[in-house]
Amino acid sequence: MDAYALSITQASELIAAGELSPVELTESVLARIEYAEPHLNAFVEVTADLAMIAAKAAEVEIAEGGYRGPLHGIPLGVKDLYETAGIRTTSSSKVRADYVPDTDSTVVQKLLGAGMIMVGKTHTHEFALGGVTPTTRNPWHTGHIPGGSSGGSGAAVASGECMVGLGSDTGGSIRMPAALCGTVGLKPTYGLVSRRGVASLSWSLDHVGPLTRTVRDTALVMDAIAGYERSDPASLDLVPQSYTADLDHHAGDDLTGLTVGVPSNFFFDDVDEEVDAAVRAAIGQLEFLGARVVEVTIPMAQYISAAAQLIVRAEAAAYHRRMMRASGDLYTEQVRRGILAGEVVLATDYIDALRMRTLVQREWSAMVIGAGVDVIAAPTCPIPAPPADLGTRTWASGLVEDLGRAVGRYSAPANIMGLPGLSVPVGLSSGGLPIGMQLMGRPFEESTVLRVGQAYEQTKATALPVLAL
Amino acid sequence: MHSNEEKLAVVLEMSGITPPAEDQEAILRAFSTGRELSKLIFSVAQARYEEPALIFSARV
Repeated sequence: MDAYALSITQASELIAAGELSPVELTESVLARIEYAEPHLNAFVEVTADLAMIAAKAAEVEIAEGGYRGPLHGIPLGVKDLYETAGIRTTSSSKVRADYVPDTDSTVVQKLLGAGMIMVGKTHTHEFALGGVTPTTRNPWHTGHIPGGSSGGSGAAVASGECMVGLGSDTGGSIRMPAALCGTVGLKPTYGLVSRRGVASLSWSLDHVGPLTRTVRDTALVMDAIAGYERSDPASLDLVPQSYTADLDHHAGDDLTGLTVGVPSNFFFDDVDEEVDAAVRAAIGQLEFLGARVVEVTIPMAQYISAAAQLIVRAEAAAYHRRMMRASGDLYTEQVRRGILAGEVVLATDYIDALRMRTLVQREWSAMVIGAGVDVIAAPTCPIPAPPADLGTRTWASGLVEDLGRAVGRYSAPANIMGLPGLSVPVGLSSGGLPIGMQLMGRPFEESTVLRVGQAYEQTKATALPVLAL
Repeated sequence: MHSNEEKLAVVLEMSGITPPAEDQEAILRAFSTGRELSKLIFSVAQARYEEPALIFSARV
């Protein structure tokens, strides 16, 4: 197997044993980037020279007994919303084409501190305001979108251009590209991972987290990035925990004692038949593994997306207010219009949407506690990756839906309530495109969500292949 | 009663922003859907006195 195709778990064992050097691994990944980029365009900028300098330094450090842990020498792709010291951070926008930060964002700082090797900055839908990432293509079929807004990271991880891709998720932007590109993606609980140094879309809904190729790899990254930081007002000071240790502790266990809720409304409304079948089959596997499966009704479903839309519009317009007036013509048309739509949300409507969020959160909590549910399992997206020219689909309900919007229809609940949401691959459509299952847990119960995700993942004969293009 | 188009023109003027002509239709559409979303949320009396959870800390 080529080194770029290894999981972090596999590569780190080889590195720790002295059987693989960070230089060999980085060279393999950079060669993969050179091969795949003309097809995918996942990166805004590839930092090959810096990566090789860091890889050589890691090699020397490890040889001298300074091994830092399982992320040491592992290649990392950073979504271009994350500030990186001395390296352009454009948010995939002409508005910030020349912005070079002085410092790293907290998550980047932590991962570089753990010894990771940054190989480049990955594309985002401009300022994360969209679920398509039009610059980038899906590695499973380059005529299709990778999803967004962390589409560059999704495409890069799935194709072997890096082993971890950082993402951000305000309305599904980690989980959607994970589902559409066939990777694992975790949106952690609101307040668990610092967002300092990551461009905001909507601060009360923004989350940051990783995309990887296995659930355990996600746990390894979470071990490094979770933690309190005072400069993120949402950050919470909690007792640190090891997600990897929790996973390994349960590695041989089945899911007896856990309850999986399956929604009877909202999440399976207007869903593609193949997505429905793949996710229900995966839920069947969870039951086979010992989980109790119960039906649940999503409370106040019709208000969740309404509240999310108003909050995002208002907060995005506030964030962009000065830039929109100074350089409005530099935004792409779709994003400019999206931001301008927020200029006309009344303050009273914004407050009402926030009040609605509190009510929905209480009702959701009552549903979860009442049914004794540990995780809710549902499709991540209603459809596999649509073609790059998008188009519409007419559902049996009569709904005519733009496919660029359809991919995000199941995302809002986890953002509105700040819940952990993990997308894991559960199969391929007849067109050869990945399908994702979304596992939503109780707040700060990442360990449970990861445990269920890994238990499912281990039922598959082989991991999803790293793709030949 | 003013149309959404007239309301939008007033709000944008107060915001000090003049969108390009080609954006006007899209913004009007977004404004109209935004008003519908707001009405939907406002229709839930139960939400009226919920805590809006704006984050503020007196600790500097």
